[in-house]
Parts: sequence; C-alpha cells; structure tokens
Amino acid sequence: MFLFKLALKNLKRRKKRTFIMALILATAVISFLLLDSLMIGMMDLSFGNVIDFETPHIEIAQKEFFAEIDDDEEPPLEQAFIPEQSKLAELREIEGFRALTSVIDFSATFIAGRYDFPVLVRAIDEESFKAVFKHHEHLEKGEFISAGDSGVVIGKDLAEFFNLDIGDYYTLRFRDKDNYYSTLEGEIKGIISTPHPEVNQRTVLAARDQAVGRLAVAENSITQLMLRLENRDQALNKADLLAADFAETDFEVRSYRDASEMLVAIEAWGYLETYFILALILLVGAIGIVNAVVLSALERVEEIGMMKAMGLKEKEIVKVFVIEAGGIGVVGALLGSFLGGILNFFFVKYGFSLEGLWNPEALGLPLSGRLYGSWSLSSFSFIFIFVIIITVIASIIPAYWAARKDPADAIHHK
Amino acid sequence: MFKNLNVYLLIALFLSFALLLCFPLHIAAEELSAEEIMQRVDENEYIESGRMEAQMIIEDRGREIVKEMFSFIEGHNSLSEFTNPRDRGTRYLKLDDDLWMYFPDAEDLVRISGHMMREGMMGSDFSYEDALESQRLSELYDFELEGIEEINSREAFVLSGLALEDEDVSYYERKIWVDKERFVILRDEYYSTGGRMIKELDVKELKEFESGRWFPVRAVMNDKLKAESQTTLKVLELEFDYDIPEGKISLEELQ
Repeated sequence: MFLFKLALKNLKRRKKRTFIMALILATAVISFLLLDSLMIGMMDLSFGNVIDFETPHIEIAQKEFFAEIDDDEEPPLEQAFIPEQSKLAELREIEGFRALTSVIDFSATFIAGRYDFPVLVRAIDEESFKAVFKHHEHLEKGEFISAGDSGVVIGKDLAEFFNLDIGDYYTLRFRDKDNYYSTLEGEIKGIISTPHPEVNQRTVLAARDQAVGRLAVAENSITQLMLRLENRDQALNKADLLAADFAETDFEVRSYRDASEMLVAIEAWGYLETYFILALILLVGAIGIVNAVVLSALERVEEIGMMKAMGLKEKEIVKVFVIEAGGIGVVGALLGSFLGGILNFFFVKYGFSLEGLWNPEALGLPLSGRLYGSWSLSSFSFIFIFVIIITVIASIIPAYWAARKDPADAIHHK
Repeated sequence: MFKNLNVYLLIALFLSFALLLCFPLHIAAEELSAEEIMQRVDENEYIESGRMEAQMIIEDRGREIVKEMFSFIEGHNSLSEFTNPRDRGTRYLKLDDDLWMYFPDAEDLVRISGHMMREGMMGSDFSYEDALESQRLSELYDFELEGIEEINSREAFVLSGLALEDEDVSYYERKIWVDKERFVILRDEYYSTGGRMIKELDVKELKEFESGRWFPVRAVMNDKLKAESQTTLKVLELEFDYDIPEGKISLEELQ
C-alpha cells in the first residue's frame, strides 16, 4: 500500500509529464476504438446489404450449384430442383424463422437497342420475395413485378447504361436447361436504386411464372431456397445446424457469410490493419513510457539512493516505477475510452454518408448508403486492459535500471 | 381399237421421256430428301482442312470497322489470327468445344467461357458460340424439306431443322435456304426455343472453286435482337485441302 501511495504521489508531482504520456496513450485508445467501430460499421453495412439484396441469412441449393458458382461459372440450370413440401414445412418451423422464398437464378444477356450486357436474372415469386428481400423498398420508378408480368425490374445503373425508362423494351437472351438459346422479352416495369452496386448494375428481377416456360425447367423448379431469420447471429447458428441436417443429402446450406467470401476476407484484412495501426501507436506510447521512467529515474537518483539506504529493496523500487507507469496507462486508457466513447456516440447516432467518398461500383463491394459506428464492449475492455499491460511491460526494464543504482553513488551522484 | 391404244401409249411414253430429258436436274433435285440435301451442303461447306483469308466488316451505328484475319481450319479445330493494325497478333484457337484467345500486348492466354461465349467475337455479330459451331449441320439438326422458294434470284430448297437430342448446339431451330443447283446455304435463320429469330445469315456472293465446289464468299450476319447490327464476312482467299503443318493448331502455337 505504501508503494502504491508513493507511486501515486510521484505521478501527482509530475502532472505535466503524466498528462502528456496519458494523452499519447489516449490517442492510441481513441484511434483503436474509432477504427474498430468503423470496421464493424462497414462490415455491418456490407453484410446488411448482402442480406437485404443478394443472399439472405440462409441459402439452400444443390451442392453442385454452389460448386459451379464458386468456380465463377454461371448458375447451372441443370441443378434446379423441386423442393419437398415436408422440407419446406420443416424450414418454416426453425427457431427465429421469418420468411422463405424460392428463386431461379440464371445468367443472361440483357439487350436493348444496339447494346447488350451480361446480367444475372433472378426469377421470383413476388409476395414471398418481398418478405425476404428489400428490393421493393428501393423502387425509384415504376412498379414491382407480379405474377404473369412479362416486365422486369432492373437496377438504376443498368437503366442508365442502356438509357432505359419505364415502358421501354428489353430482351433477355440466355441458355435454357437444355442449353438452347431462349429469350424473354417485354417492357421495363420498374427501376430500383439499392445500396448494393451489383444489384444496381447487373441484376434483373423477372416473374417466375414467365421465366419457367422459357427455361425448360419443370413448373415448380427452383435453384435456391432462401430464408430470412430474426437476426444475423441466429442465422449463423441455424445455418450450422441445418448444414449438419443436410450433410447426407445432395444439398448444401450456406449462411450469408459463406456466400460473401470476399467480404469475409476483407473483414479479416480490416481487423489486421486496425491491430497493426494500434500496434504502431502503442509502440510510440511504449517508447514514451520507457522515456518517462528513465527521465523520472534520472531526476530521482538521490531519492532512489535514499530509499535504498532506508532499506527499500530493489524489487520494491521496481514496483514503484512499474505502478507509476501502470498509473499512466490507467489514466490514458480511461481518458481514451471516455473521449473515444463520446466520439463514437456521435458516429453511432448520426453516422456519415458514403456517397461521394468512393465509387462502390468500381469497388465492387456492397458498401454504399449511410455508415454508422457500432458499440463493442469487448473492444473497450480489450483496449483498456491492453494499454495498461503495455505500459507496465514497457516500464519493467528501465525500472530495473533505476533500481540497480548504488545507494552511495546515487546520493553523491552530483 | 388396240392399234389406237398402242399409238396413245407410244405418244405418252415419248412425251414422258422428252419431259425427262428437258428437266433432268430439276426432277432429280426435287426428289432429294432433306437429309440428302444437307449432306450435299455439308460436302460443300464443311472444310476438312483449309487455309482462309477473310475480312470482317462490322457496321456499328453508322461506323464501319474492318478486321482482317487468316485461319487454318482442320475439321472441328481452327486457328485464326487477326492482321489488321488494331488487332494485329490477336489469335483464336478452337479445339473441339474449347476456345482460347491470345492477346499479344498482354502476352496473355484467356479461355473463353461463360457469358463471354455469348458475346460478339471482336465486337461482331458472330458470337464466340457461332464460331465454335464447325460440325456438319446434318449431324446437328434433323432437317425437313418445307418447299422451294426463290431467294436472291436463285431457286432454293427451304428446310427447317430441329436440334438433335444430345447434340450441343446453341439454337434449337434453324431455317435454311439451300441453292437448288449449287447446294450452298443462301440464307440461315437461327431461332430460340420460343420460336424467336435470334440471328440471320444472308449469303450475298458465292464462288465456284477449282474442284467445282461452291462456297459462300460474302455473307452478312444480322443479330435480330439488336438494332442496327450487321457484320459482313468476306472470304478473300480460300484453299481447300491445305496441308497444315503438324502442331500448327495447338495451344503451344497459340502462345
């Protein structure tokens, strides 16, 4: 307790140095917390856009279907299947279930006027699709498709590329299940503007009943079953359980994360980057701590000699310096957490628009819209403890250096 | 009575014979089955081995882009190289059902697959898939003779063909006009499964080669799904039964 009080007193005696050192550490803490919040926010936004517009929480298809997609092949229509009603009922019974829809995905060439462009066509059942996805909430012009419609809904970028408006004619040319050319034609019924660039650029929504006849597949065939659950964490858990259930079948279950390998890789790199930056800032902080302890020891050479003469052991002197450094760490971590918390509050509450910051189409990532920060208790706890540990470790060697001074030399060092 | 009958029979026989002499080819041609017609077409148009120099004129919204190339053809396989300044050195290799492209600037080899196969070759109305179709038509489609029509001032058989099962073809249905005398396709219409015409090939000029073999030397391909779209293929030089050096049509040669 005596040593603790002594260390605290020393910190108070050198308030300016303590404050500057704590400020350096606080900067590291703030940077880490904001970067972490940004990363979580970016991933939340990206995965959110994937779930709302591309692959919902859980997707089920034939194993070969996923294998070909993974090989960058086109969605294979020969992997279309007719879902068993009993299986569908089972899926509706799973905990946290919200909605289920079935789709047929196929590649096509979108043609209008002189131009053509490769697209992914998603043949959908309007009602169930709306319960799983959010495309209809981002309708910019026209109407959403319904059963019996020969019209399609396209993204705003595709519409701009072809200079198309509602009522303009389109043709979709594709290979049917037997590999023959087939076409779908009609009018543009709706134009959507979503935060998912891939959807805006190259996804076409068509009514399932119109597409089925031209795809040479059986009437009730689908390529994927898509499920929306109550939340993402639940989805990951349920996807694992369902995958185990389907393990012995020809089907494969994927979560939204499995379907977004690129995002998962970016997430891993992002965290690596955050920790690298944290390490750099803390290195500066650690050098500062070493410097502070050495300076403090040089200033207090006589004091150290006196303490040793009065019977304080080397270990105890080391403890004083280490507690002092730890104290600076605690002040820095507290200050950083407090200021980081305030800044993050505004980030979480108001966020900022990504529009104009970069071109999501060029990036090819579903990263557009408004980016909000995120609260992570584990990040706060981690950085708080980590900073204290770093400061304590950084002070040990200079503390030993100070404690090993000979008491007689120390007293008469001048 | 019998004497008169004999005279009538003699006259009828004479007239029939005279008719036969006057229109021998006509009757012979009209009696051909669709299969026989297509076999004769394949005999003319299928190249066992050859060397061809050609020009591709792409008409795109009022602009005209001319591409020149030469090709070595050996049955189902071929190697083509573009020689016009803009594309000089760009090569295509077709080996059975696979197609590779070589870009000289990047010194890169690309296998053409997926949606690229549906795109126009070098921006033309001939898709890569069209380029891949090099088998005899009679092996790919089951043709039926529909009648005879005049096209480009030539009498032609009109045949419609449905794709044969297990044959990997792009178009479910074809309708072709075959010159009655020269057994060369004068027009070829390509249809989707839904019966929509996707492309149309109109042969504008034929040439008789040394062996008496007729071959189309100027044809215009129209992508019927696109507006203002037309590509003319002009054969400048064609040598049948060309002795292609061994290994010429290979991946090694492509690079």
